Amino acid sequence: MNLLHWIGQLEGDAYRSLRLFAPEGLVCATMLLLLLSRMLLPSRRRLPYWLAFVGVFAALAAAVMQWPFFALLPQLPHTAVGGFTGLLRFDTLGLFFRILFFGFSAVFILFLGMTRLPPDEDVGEFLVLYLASILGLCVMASADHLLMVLLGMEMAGVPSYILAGFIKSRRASGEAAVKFALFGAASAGVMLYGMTLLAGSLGSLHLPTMGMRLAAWTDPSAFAARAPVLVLGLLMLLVGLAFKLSAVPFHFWVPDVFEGSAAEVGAYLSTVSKAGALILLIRVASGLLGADATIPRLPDPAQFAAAASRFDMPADSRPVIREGVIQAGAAADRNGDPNVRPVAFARQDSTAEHSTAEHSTSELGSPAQLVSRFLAAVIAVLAAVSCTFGNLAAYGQRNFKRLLAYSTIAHAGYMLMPVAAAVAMWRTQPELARWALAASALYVAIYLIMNLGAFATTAFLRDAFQSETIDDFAGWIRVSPSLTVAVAVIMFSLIGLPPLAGFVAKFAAFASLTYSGLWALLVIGAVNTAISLFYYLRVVKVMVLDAPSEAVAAMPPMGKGAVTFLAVLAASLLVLGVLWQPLFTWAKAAAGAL
Amino acid sequence: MATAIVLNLIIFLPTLAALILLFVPAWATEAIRRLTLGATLLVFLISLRLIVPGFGDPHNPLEQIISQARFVAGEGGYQNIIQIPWIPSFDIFYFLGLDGLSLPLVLLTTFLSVLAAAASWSITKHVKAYSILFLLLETGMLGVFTALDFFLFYVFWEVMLLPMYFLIGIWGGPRREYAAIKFFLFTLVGSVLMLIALLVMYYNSDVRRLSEQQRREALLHESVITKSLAPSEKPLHTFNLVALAKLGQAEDSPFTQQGLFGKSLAWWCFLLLLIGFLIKVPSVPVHTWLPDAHVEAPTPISMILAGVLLKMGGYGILRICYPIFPSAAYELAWLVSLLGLVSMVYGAFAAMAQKDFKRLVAYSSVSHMGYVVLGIGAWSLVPGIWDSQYWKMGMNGAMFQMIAHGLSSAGMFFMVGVLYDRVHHREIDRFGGIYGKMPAYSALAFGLFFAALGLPGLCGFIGEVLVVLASFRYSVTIAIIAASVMILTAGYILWTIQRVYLGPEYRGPHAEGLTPLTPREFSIGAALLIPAVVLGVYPQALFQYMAPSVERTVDEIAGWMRRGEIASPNGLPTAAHPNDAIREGFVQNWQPEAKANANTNANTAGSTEERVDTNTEPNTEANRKTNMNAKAELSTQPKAEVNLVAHAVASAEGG
Repeated sequence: MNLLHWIGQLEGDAYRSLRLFAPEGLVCATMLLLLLSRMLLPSRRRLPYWLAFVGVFAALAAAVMQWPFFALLPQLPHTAVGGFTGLLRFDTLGLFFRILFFGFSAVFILFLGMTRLPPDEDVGEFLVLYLASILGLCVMASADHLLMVLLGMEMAGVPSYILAGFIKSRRASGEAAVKFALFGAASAGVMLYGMTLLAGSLGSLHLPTMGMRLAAWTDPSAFAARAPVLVLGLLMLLVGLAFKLSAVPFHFWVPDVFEGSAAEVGAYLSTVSKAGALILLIRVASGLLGADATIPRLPDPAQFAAAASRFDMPADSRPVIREGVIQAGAAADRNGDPNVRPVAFARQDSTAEHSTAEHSTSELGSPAQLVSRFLAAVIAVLAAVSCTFGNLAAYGQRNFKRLLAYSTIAHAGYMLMPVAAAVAMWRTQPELARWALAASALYVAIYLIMNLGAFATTAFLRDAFQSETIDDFAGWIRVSPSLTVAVAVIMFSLIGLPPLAGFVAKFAAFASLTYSGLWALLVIGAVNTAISLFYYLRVVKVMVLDAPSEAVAAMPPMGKGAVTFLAVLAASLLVLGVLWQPLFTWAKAAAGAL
Repeated sequence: MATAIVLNLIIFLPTLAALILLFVPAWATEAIRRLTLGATLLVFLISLRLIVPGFGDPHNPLEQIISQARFVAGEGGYQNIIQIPWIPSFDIFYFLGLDGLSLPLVLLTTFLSVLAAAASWSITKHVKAYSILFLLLETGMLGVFTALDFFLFYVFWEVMLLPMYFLIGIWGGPRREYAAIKFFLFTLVGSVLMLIALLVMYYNSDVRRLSEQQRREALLHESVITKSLAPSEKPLHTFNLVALAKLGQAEDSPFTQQGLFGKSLAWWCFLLLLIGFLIKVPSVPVHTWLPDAHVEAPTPISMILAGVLLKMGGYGILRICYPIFPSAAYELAWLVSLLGLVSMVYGAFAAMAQKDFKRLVAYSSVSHMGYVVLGIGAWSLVPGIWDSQYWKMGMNGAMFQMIAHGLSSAGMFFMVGVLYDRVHHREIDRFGGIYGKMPAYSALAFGLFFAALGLPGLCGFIGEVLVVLASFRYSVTIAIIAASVMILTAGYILWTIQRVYLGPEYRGPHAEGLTPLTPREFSIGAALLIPAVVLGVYPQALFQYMAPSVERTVDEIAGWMRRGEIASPNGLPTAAHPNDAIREGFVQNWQPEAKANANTNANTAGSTEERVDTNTEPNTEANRKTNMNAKAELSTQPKAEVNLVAHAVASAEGG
């Protein structure tokens, strides 16, 4: 194999990968167009919004059009397609999150156009930064390599530091940006160090390869010798993820940044940014735990090519991976049966037992099992602490954005719960683990709507009142009844009351905890639901029950745009709360990729 | 199909009316009130048609649909079933149905909703929002009583939370916000506990454990039955309450597996659900939200709260806790009975001490709902005797008491509200002499208060006396205390009547406001008093619908107990009752001749069936013989328990 041949292969791989990467490509093109329009047509104030909206919408359409192809993959059998020499991994789960990101962005840009936060001359820059950040999130959703993990996080992170400080005239805004950037840099540093430790002990940065090496350590003494480094590396890696997720104890930036920066930025930081961190956590866990089914299970080429041509996809897409994995795959291939795989990768679908027998046995289990249990424990503790702390701290808040910041921390906890359940069940009950991941994907999808609604409320109220203190909104229902009802629906959805979507999200998350037998976490989550009642309800109480002040009573009603926007979000929460079967089916299909 | 239309119409017609109200301008208050009243009245008429034959043209298609949905009296099973897949991923069905437990409560709800809507003319603030919330509340309540899928039940249970919060919080008295949040928080804690139990039950259920016959009996959806017949490694979970009950009563019930702290899953789920439901009942010590909520709520909402919402707790215990977790229910029977008893006593004493008229009525609710809990909890079914008639009597009494209390407490709250509208205070000590000023009102109030007191001939009597009689068989001490609570009740109610209605003249503020009843108010009061009298005189009117289902519930549990007995003679918990010794002694004294014959009969009574039956745990030799004889004797009694209940009522009234 000479160099030219190798370069030729790389070229082919890049071309294939780029086609799968088309939605992101469209986002990149939009960014360029935005910058150009700023230069060529500076007087068209509304143009950037339209450009960005169209671009994001095109990306959304491109991503949605890829879905049927990926949805077909598991039947081939083949669950993912590698991209860029195995740095990225394209599958249904990643696509699910990318569709969420693009869909959210389309709505978010509409919302930006409504509140018009950035000064007209800076709209282009604001949108470019936002799209760059979304691009980073997309990389996070497809990362299959620790390098891409870091790259994705920084690509998403650095623009968001600038966005946090975008309102240059406000002191608090600048302070928020600096704080955010400092915390971000520190955690990225810690994470990078953790990565080096992991790479040192496992000899690779490619997640599936790492997972395979880990599974290959069957000798307990060798494992015991390397365990401290491994544990330290994992913990440090989790620091970075927990920072992005705003999980306690890496949450200190959240209230200050949310309070200091504009509500629009908060809406971005608390929703898709968090979703990106969650999918990244799932990626890291799934890679390390080696539940990766793609590698040894090479698809039937003819079937694959047929499917690919049907959906206009690169026909020769193949996972392109490092030598160790290729050897494993080749070994499987040599045995004649493409489905025979090394023991370490055995998927246990057919023998899925619905008891936690494996957990209760006294023997320590394989390294992968140990890591699975360790990760599950760490994530469960993070979830429990974040949830409880967030809810308790939110109780005393007077500033609406600060309250939502703590609510975000609490929801990060709820969001982590099904992930903890999935990780705990990964090796023992893969079927149920996938179910739990579907629950977390469902949670994310619903949470995006709820929190966008909540932050949009603060933005609209800020524009109307020039205030973000909850008590100033007293009696708002007298002025704008429909808007207040929509806000109330969003708040009740955040509590998790049926028949609203927030309940559905919590129900699915708690159900996955039941499956995995994490009883303590279930009880903590349930009790937290009751605690969270107070502060969400207080917002509603102030708006609905309290007597309006003179200032409020004299106010004109809210604009039609704001009312419609919130009403649509609230209505979608109600509809999803009753008819959530399609969304959950979609989430389950997405989670089937692992 | 026809039944599906009717039942859905009953539940969702109020929601539909609420949606229509959205488009009615807010200033048209009179139109809004009339529309609300019209909607509730329509719902009531439709629900009434479930039990009343039609008078219309039998060839009219609408008439035909409605008559197909008629509820057949005397059957214990479920009728008017609707089952549509809702969330297949979680095996959730939109599953509704009626039986003897739910039908009376549905009728009570629709009836009281009409009266509460009629009483809502006193609401003058934000009438539109009030009416919309009120109608949504009605949908939630009706949904709870008709849902047979636990998830659906939970959703409806929570749906009625929010309207209630706002109805108390916006239209309530001076401390409305405190009362509303307290109500919300208590109920939410209860429902969160319920959610945990719900998930545990779901995850541990497996339809495949049931035989095909049982699956059909459990009314599982056809698709589930087909699916469960196919060989599969995976368990097939369910939220179907009927199927869950079948699973819970099976010999190898999945809920018997070990849970936390050495207790079974059934024990934990039962406890969690019990707390959730007892908060709603409410029972001491989780009753504290009730007086606050009642005092602050506006009159129509108080009527609904006392008349319907409290019944959800009792209904939940009867529908979910007992059939699904009989083992835990047996183990904790002492707790349930004791809480019921304590609520009765505490509520009565607390009522006696109140200065606020409405608070007094609220505490009387705590006391009266205690009878419901005691009637359910008094597990007089003793292994070896297998005499379930008294427990049936107690449960029938509990159900009857729920309906009776629904009528009388709603009536009492309305009476207090009428007075408050006129004189704007509720202090009992500043009343007096109302009878002279408002004779018609006072007569209605006397009737309703006496119905609550349990005067023979009025509805309150039947339920209370059945519960006390039934608890006699469970524990004499409890029965004696329960019976003496009737005296306390009479005490505080008569004292209240004396202080408020009698006396020379009214000396409190706003004496000029004491105008006679308006026709609207009079008809609401009369509408509550008439059924109270009818049910008191002819309780069979209710029992013919209720008793078969109550008996089915008890018989199923009795069947479970027998099977458990056969499978493992020592399998059942033993020291479950607070005063076993007293009861055992009582059983022996109760049948002295049986005791005397014990030795002679010991050998002859050796038929196989009885040998199996008498294989009980704690008994000494002599005891077992007693039981054997008791069983032999009781088996000669007539089996028709409805008659027994009617008998008991008749004899008690006669004496």
